[in-house]
Amino acid sequence: MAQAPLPAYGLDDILSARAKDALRSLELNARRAVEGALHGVHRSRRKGISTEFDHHKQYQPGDPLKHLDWKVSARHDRYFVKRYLEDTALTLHIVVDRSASMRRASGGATKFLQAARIAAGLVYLALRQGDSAGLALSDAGETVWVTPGSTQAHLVRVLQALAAREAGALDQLPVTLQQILDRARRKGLVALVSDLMFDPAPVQRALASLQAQGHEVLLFQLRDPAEEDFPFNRWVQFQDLEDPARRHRLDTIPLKRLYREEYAALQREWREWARKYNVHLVSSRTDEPVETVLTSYIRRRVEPRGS
Amino acid sequence: MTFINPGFLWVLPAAALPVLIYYLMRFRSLKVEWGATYVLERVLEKLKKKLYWDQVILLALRTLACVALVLAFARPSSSGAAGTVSGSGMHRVILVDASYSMLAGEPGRARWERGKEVLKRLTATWGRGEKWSLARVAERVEWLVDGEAIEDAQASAARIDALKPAEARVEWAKALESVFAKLASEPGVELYFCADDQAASWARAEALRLPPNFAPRAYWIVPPLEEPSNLAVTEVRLAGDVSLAGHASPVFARVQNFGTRDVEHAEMEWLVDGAFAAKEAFSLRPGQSGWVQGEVIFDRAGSHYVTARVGADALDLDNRFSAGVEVVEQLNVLVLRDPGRTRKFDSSWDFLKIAGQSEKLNDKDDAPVFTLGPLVFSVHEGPLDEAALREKQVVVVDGASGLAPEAAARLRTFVQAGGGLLLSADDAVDAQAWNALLGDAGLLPSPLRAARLEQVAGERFQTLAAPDPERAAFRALSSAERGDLAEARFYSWFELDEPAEDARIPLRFADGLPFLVLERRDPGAVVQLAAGLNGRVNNLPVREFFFPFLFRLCTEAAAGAYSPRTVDRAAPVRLRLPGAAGLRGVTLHSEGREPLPMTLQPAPQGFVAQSAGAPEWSGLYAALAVRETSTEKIWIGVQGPRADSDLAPLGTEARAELVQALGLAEAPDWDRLDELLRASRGGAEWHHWVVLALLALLVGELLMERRFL
Repeated sequence: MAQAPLPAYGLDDILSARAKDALRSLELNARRAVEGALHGVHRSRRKGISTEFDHHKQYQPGDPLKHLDWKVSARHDRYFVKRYLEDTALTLHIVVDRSASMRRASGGATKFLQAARIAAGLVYLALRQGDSAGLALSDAGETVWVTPGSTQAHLVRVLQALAAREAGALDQLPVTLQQILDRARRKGLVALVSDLMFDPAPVQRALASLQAQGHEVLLFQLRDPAEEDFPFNRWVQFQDLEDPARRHRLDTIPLKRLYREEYAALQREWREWARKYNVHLVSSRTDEPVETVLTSYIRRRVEPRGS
Repeated sequence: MTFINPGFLWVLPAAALPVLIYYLMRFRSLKVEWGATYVLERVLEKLKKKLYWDQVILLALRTLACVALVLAFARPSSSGAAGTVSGSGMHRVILVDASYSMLAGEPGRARWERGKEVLKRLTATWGRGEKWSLARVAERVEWLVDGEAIEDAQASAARIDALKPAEARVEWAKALESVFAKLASEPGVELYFCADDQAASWARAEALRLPPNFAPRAYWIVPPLEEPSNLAVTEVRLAGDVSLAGHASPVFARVQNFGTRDVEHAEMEWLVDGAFAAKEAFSLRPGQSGWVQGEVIFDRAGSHYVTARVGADALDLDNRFSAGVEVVEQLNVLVLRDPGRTRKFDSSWDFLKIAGQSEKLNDKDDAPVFTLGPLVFSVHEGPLDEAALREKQVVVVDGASGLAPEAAARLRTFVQAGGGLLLSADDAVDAQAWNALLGDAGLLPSPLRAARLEQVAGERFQTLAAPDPERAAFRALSSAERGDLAEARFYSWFELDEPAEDARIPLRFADGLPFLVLERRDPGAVVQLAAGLNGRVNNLPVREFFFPFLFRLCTEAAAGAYSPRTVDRAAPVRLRLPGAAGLRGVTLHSEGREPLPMTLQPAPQGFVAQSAGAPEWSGLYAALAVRETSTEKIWIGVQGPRADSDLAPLGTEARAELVQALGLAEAPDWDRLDELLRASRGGAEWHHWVVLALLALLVGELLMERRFL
């Protein structure tokens, strides 16, 4: 019997008690109407039992008579029934980039560990308010799935999946996102946690499709300090983490300014795309505490637009 | 194109250093696992070609900058002008006139100091490693630096500062022959003369011919001299090395006008032991020399010195000379009286007794003793014994007909011990016996040849010629005040043979025959007269000069006990020190110079001290003889020839010929020399262009680098 590989991280490394304390008082509200199997705190697109009026609909045979709006029917000389919005539970789909580029660490934690912490924090938030959360680890060949669930035991499963292995595969995010699109029939919140260091177009297309299907898309970008600052003043041989055969021996002094400009341009490209599609993009460095990142984002999320 | 410092071209391969560093840095690159390769490749996709060319341009700029730096040190120049440009490959030779005429000028601003200042500024402009030589030219050419590489400006300046002048003159014609012979094979030579424009030094130099293929660029640093007057004291003499205390002693100084204008009513100051004693006025025309006579009085016995000094002028060094002298309180003189002379005026001693004060001082021997000023006479008749000679400085042999051979031997011993002998051959002397007796004893400087006798008080008599002006001993006795030896009349005298070379003849008869022969022995002295001192056959005792003449004869005889106190600079100083007791050592001192040690050699009745070599400079010296209980100071005047005092400059034509013959460019000061050097190098060197290119390359590199910041 083959021995199971040791996990890359402890569960406490991924979701610490301090993070739990920081997130305990927060609520993750859906920005768009969602669909859920469970009764919950989020507005649903489905019309159902609720006190919140949505709109009037012309009566058709079979509609419950108790929903007839007599005042409106009398005014228009036709029968109208009232429709109400249904409160439902949120389904959170978290997609974590486990490509080898996420293994890069210069600020203490690897990008993947930081991504796992963010994912765990989000799952913790969702489960605490009764929502369900699932996980997709974009990996080489096949995606590791943890189907959405809403129990505390589910949180452990998610954490175990995150801690199982260090990043180290080729980038497969467009495929994973497409799989989400196929699997998640109910509208929910899709959170992608990645360094976004790849060609944005395929991922952006996949995310746009998810957005079009009614999912709320949330982007967490992780920036490695060294990759952002490019703190070199000598000749450096850069070896690609995903493909070790790709090497570049470069004098970094003349390259520094140009690299930084290009890095900023990529950031800008993502921001503009997110603005265009009304997608929240949370960009943070790996040396920032996760609870700070999540807390500040969730507080910003509940504030009225423009405040 | 040629290079002034071609040695630096060996460093040219170092220009590849930037390329080597480039590959070394590439080789030693830091390995980093990178997660943002996508960004990196986006940059490279856009800029790879540009980065490549940036690298190429930067490497080219750095390499060219290194090349330019090497070239700047190699100092490229145009081929035609390379020979005139100072630098490596050129051998720079400094010839410094170290004769004492270079000391002419104001104190501290003499030609010597000004010339050395210019040389120091000149050497400070020369680069490290360049070849140079430094020669001190005096009586001969002394190469102090011989083709060495320059270390730094301070070291070169120190070598120039260490140069010392010499009491010598330069003969440039002779010196340059040896310089040209040494340098003729050198491919490129630059000559720098630091010399005055003395006509005497440069004589015949215009006739010099440069060796074939030897055409040095020559510069003549010749600081100007404003003061035209230049007197020099060329000799100072006293009448003798021994003088009598309390009596006027004549002193003589020879002074020469080396200046270009008349000197009228100039003053000669006489100083005794450094204190003013007397002064005399004199006038001289340019080129003229003459004796100035003075008179000083020494107030006490011992070693003293007399200095003759004239006023400050162009060359202060030659304005004084000193002479040493031994002063005695009195001289004890023993007169050997011929007992056969009983007639009146047979001997001068009768006359002397009258002139002097007769005293009975020695009852035991019943010998008459009488004093005549500082002379204390004892008259002795009969066999000569040891006791009679005790404490006597001078013995006068008056006639000597009755002298026994034993007495002659005793007299020889007396002379060998430093005593003085005065031989007076009067008409009663038997020449043959005299020659036999004294000649056999080795006491006769000049044998008596034939007796000459004229009728006393008759028309025919012998007279004396004027004293030799070059000999001071009897020169004072030729004036109206002191009497004139020319008034002496001799009715009886002897013809003398010319004496040996070591004897001097201060006085001659009018016909040229010797009258007075002086033979200084070491120690002792013999003074021989060709006539008697008695008044019967001559008129000496009745002339004014008789007593001074007698004093002079006695001091000259007594001087044999002492070493000369005024010596020539060419020979080592030799000093006889009587008394062996407790002598520790003797050193020779002169103000401002290092003391010279003197070696001691035992001698009869004392030591002889001698300096290791001849003194380098004329002047006043003091021999300090350190004894157990005391220190004795003996003043010695050292006098050398004033060989380089003539500052007369070259005439216009001679100067022009010299300048043309040697290709000289004259520079009175640094500004002019600097101007000449710049003019000779103007436009020839490309140094500035190379430095400009280097700067441009460095600026280009900086601009390139700035783009990356």
